[in-house]
Amino acid sequence: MLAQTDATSLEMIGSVLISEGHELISVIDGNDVKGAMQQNPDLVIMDANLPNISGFECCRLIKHDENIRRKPVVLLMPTQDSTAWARFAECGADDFIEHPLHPHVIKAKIKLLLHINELYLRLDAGHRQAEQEIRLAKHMFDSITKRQSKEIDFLHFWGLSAGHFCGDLFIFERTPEGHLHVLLGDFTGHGLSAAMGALPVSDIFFAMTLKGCGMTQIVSEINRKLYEIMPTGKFCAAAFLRLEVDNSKLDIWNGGLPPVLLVDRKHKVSIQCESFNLPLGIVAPAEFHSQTQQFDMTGTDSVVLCSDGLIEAQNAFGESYGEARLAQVIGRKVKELSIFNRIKSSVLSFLEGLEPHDDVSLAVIHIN
Amino acid sequence: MEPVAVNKLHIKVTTLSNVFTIYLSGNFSFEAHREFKTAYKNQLDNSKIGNIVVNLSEVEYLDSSALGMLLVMRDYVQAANKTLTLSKPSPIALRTFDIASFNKIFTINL
Repeated sequence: MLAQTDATSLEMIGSVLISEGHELISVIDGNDVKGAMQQNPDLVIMDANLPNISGFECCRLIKHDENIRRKPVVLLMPTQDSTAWARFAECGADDFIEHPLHPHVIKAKIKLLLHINELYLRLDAGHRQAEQEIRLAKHMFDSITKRQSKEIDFLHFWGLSAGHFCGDLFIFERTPEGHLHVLLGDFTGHGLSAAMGALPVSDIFFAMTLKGCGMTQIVSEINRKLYEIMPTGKFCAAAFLRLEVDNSKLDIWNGGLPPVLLVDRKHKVSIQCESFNLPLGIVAPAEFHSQTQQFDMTGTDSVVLCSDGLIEAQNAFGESYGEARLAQVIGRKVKELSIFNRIKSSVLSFLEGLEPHDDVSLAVIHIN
Repeated sequence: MEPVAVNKLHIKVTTLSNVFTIYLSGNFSFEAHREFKTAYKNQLDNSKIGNIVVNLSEVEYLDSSALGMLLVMRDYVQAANKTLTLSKPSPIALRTFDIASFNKIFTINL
């Protein structure tokens, strides 16, 4: 689209465009630019000074319109007008041409701008594809959690995503004897790459738990599967818990998550179960040692698990939430607030609305 | 206090005898993956180098993608029959390595 009032310029630029094989939409008045844009030109060459609505203003309007802002716009700038450059800078134009006009310069500009246009189109296509993949990942992730047989009222989970959805996996299921298996998993990567790991992990978890398999067996099998299918560098940091049906004993396998905290009746952290294992999917089955720890549950009121996204959540000043703060918040008994809600609101107020760098997840099991 | 800007990863390399050392400082996370790989890639075929060291004393932030990058590097270095050492991890790097039990598969020099 060529918006020009000066007949000589109109003819020169117009003939270059036509000789390059472009179709011309000519406009001589700023009021007509909007209508001409509806014909979907590939390129806009406008005189900065047009009657009624200036080229600067037309450009600004184009660049503010969600549907057409990607169209390359080049402005023909007036000579000897230093104030024009300030307007150029803020109107959003992609390029400029100055007098005297030369056909080879115009040709070069056109080529450059069409190239930019192509880049924009590819960028847009890339974004659309990425968004589709994220929707797919979210759908698959949701389908995993829908498999939970039913809610267990003493299990609480909260996830805050660093992006489109929280890729931390929290699943639980009872064995045929009634023992409770719980898994919190934090996959490297986000979106689709996290969801892809979550599928086999949850398949194995549910199938083997319902068959009555032991936790060591399940953890080893999950490691084997992830080692087999995930590329080097991709893994799943996880904690697997097994709560005896009568709540008397708790077995913990922690591979790569921050310490699992056992909290007593006085809301003091009585035990920290550190990770002594490599995350899942890093070493082959032969090198995989599953070290579990067993704890007597008398005196324990709650179990707190979280992903490192919670510990490393940073506020606007670059401070990390930290393990110390977490222990503090747990210890600060507040009458109406459960430990779960206390931690959740503490993290949210720490972040003050900032999006975390990494998915934040928190799970609390209230034993009694 | 002014909000802190996110730091980039700064990489410095030195060669002493048959040891190639990569000094990392700042944020070690996914954005740096190409730069990091470039830093060691050419040394894999270098017969004069037998040991590759990654110095993490100035690392201020380290996430799971950094762990992933180190795992990938480990694969390459092992395939090239060289040794890889993680050296002088900063407190935050050390904590991350501890939680991930990286000492089981990496040589970490404090």
